[in-house]
Amino acid sequence: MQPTPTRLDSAADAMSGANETLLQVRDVKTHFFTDEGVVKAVDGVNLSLKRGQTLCVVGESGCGKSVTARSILRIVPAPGRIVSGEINFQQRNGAMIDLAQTNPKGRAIRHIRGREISMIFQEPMSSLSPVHTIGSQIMEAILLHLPVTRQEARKRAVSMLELVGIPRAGEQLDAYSFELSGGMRQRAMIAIALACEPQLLIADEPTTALDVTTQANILDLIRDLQQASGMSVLFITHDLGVVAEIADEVVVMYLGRDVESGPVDAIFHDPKHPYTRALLQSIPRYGSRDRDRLYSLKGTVPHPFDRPSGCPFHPRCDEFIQERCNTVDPDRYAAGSAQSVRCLLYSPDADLYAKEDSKP
Amino acid sequence: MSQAHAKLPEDAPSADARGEARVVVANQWQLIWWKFRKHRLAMFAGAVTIFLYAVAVFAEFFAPYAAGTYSAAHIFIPPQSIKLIQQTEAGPRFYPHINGFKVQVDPESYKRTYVIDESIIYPVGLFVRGEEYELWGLFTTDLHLIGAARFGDPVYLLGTDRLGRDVLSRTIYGTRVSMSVGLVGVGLSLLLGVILGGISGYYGGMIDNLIQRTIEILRSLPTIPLWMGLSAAIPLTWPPVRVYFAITVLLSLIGWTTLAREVRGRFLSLKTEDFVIAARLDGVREMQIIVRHMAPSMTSHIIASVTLAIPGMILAETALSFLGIGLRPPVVSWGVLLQEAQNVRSIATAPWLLFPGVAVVTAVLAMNFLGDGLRDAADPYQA
Amino acid sequence: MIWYIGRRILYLIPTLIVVSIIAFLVIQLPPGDFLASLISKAEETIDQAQVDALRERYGLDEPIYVQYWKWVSGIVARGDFGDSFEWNRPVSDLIWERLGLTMVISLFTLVFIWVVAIPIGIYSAVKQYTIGDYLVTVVGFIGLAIPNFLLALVLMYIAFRYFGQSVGGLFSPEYIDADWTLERALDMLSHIWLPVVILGTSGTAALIRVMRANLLDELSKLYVDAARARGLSELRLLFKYPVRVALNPLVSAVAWVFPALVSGSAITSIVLNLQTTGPLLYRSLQAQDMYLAGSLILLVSILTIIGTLVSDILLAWIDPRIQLQ
Repeated sequence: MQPTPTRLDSAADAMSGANETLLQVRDVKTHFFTDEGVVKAVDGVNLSLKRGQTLCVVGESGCGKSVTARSILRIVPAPGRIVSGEINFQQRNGAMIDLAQTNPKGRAIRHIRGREISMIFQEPMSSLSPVHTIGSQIMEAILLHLPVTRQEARKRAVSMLELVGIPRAGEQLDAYSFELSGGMRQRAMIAIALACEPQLLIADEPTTALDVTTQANILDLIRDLQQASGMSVLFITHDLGVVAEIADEVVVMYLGRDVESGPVDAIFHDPKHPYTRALLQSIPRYGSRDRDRLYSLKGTVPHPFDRPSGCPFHPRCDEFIQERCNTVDPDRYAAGSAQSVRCLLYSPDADLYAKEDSKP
Repeated sequence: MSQAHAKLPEDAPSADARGEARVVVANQWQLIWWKFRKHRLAMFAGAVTIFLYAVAVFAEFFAPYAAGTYSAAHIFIPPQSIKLIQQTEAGPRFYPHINGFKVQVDPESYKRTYVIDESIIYPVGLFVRGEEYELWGLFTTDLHLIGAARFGDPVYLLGTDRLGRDVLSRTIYGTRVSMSVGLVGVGLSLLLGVILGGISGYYGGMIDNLIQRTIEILRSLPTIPLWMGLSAAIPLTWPPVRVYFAITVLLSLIGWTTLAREVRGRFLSLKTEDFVIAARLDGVREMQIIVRHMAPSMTSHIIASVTLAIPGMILAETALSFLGIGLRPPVVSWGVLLQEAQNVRSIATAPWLLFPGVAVVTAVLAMNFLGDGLRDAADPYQA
Repeated sequence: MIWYIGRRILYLIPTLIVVSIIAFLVIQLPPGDFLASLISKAEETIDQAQVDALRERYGLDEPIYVQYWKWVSGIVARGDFGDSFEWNRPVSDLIWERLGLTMVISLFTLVFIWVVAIPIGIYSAVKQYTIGDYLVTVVGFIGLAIPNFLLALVLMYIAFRYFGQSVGGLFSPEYIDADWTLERALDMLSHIWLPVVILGTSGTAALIRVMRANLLDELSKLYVDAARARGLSELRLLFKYPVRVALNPLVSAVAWVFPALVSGSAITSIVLNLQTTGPLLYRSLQAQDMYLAGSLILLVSILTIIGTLVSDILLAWIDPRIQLQ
């Protein structure tokens, strides 16, 4: 492949393979085996991402979004590990690989990391080494994955910095992370992540630690780069505003599971799961009457060791059905225009119970 | 989500729901205690430390003999092991005892060696009557924890030194001096450290800079040569008690810097804590803020630092006294006792003279483990 | 960087002044001036003219700050540390070789500590909570708890009792007063390991703990994950990022390890009978040979201060953040 960093060449590949599924996560469970017990941080998550598209994963803190992202790259910290499920990823050469089966320290996954799938993190300050220059970290990725000399790598690094909009890129290459502002650091992280033109960029709340203007700039940058290169983006966030802005598809997570997934329009205009609805209702709206109180979800996220039985959301659900929601673990059911929902309200035999329930 | 990436499991508080309910109402000291209790080694070390201080306080009771008791007939007796069972004609019976010794003199070198003589039996017991002593000047008794069951029998469990003094008893008496030097020295250091560190952290600016520079200078000096130089200047004519205090003051004059740093660091970080700022915005007086809001959160850390500072003091005292420029006989400290074992020849004759060294290592180890556990528990809100 | 070094050297000046005052204080502390003790100890009577000359030279009749000034300016201008009356020679004749040997032993020990502590610390952190880690921790704690001189005594006893040899000293008898030759240097190297191990034990134990704690801190940092997500192999990752960052505090640890070494070597040298400053200081203190003692304390302090300075500069060089402060 030719290193032509200013015009990323994989755009053409992506066009040809549009609508093809790049990443398919099936029923992945990632648990943490601590002294106090097992924390089921991710407990059966499903998602699928097509080429060139953006998938947003939303949910409250602690719902397992980040662990899901880390599971894909196999960088879950100890004592966590994937206990079951599949993570199918289509490599550049067309071959499928189940990332869940790879050895997290092995060659196969290392070839994927940085080259096929890159990741950027929430805190740009701490995700850059404090004692290495920006340039050395970009060049590291380039030299690791591409057959180039040091000079070529350096040139490519400079053009990557230009690409992500860092002024005086040539000088900033030798800057340390503490010499840059938060926004510039995140741009540098993006430059590192995209240096080898990955097919998939995983962005784990990349804008959360930044101020609002910078957030918008970084979002624009990611979107522009995505359009230029045709890469797919898996975007982890808790900010529904961001989701509305950039997502093609959305997965809503609660307690380590996908509770609802579907196209962004369907999720926003026709939410099915009570949790999704509650989330959307809790967004403050401009122009609403000031007497209206902002909706807030009742209860709190349960303790990790104390998962509710049945549907994990039932203690907080407004549509809780006694003796049903707290005993039956819901499957994923098709609902609405294109969603799939984990809620017994949408199970094929839901009417039966609904009637029973409304009898008295 | 920020913690979730690396430390998700640690965010989880203790396991059972009932435990959690208790956590809600527990105060800071209870939380520290609960956290400390989980640290088994530190608990054990704490018990050892308490035991050592108990020995220090009740040295007269724990020691079979007084520190100065000597017996010219029993010099360099090796440690005698206690046998619990005696074989009699009627069969074995429980009768704790030690065997006596026969002295053999080598006809050529005139070297005295002790040979165990199975026929001589000296019974040993717990809570025996021995030499009379006055405990803390309050009452007189002759009760000893362990010793010869018949008053006057030569029972030396850890052997004797060149004057026929009981090594065990002297080590026990040494505990009193060595452990208290650590405590008193750290007390003085703490006083200096809290005052200067507090001033430094509270006022900042020029004063802070001055104190910090002073600390840096003091820390870059080699302490032992300095101690040697200063303690050598203590007049030989001074009474033991004054020497004792002079040495402790010397130790703490150099030892306060670590504590001062700790205090200053805590002060600086607490000053910007939200609850302190909130108190200030509520119009609470400065003194009140320091005493009511800042001091409690610092105390646990300071206790941990103090515990970790004591071993250093003990080691320093031991080293100085060992060289003969710290405490001097007739004061009995571990260092003074180790002076008896200053060269290879005396150790080769009587390796048991190194026993006070075992006491030093035990004390230092125990206090280090304890301090480590305390430091971990000092911040109960941190995972 | 130049500015940083310049500033550090500037900071050195007050330190040196404080140190010289302390050393002078040690000289002055014993009761009576040293001439009195010189006269009382001298075997033959010293004539009054000689006494007056000495009195003049040290300014003994003048106020204390004048005496201090005479002493300091003599050292700075002429390298004149005063006389040792016990040896009846200028102090400067006695100290340089011993100071050099102190330095050699301390540096060797420093290298020993690093070479041993860093790999073990890394191992202990990477294999946290394994049997190996626990073993390292326990041995480390014991190493910290044993006073150097006790370790020296025990090792000497073991060597004497079980190998029938008397260890100690830095040279074989035939080389003690010999001039420096290759043979003498080699002879020293064959003796130096024991003091190095003894002196290095507690420092090694301390640095293992520092290294382990630092590395554990760094291992959970986000930049490690970020580098891993870039496709680096575990080993390269470990050494390039977290180990590299965790080493910084270790470099600054030299600032407290080095004084502790020089300090600890004083006592160990006395026990092992090494030809370093420790035993000389000890003897001079016992004999109240105060100019010798004061000079030794001054020089040993300067030695550690220079060590600290070097470690600070080293740290600024490997950690670019330091220079900013």
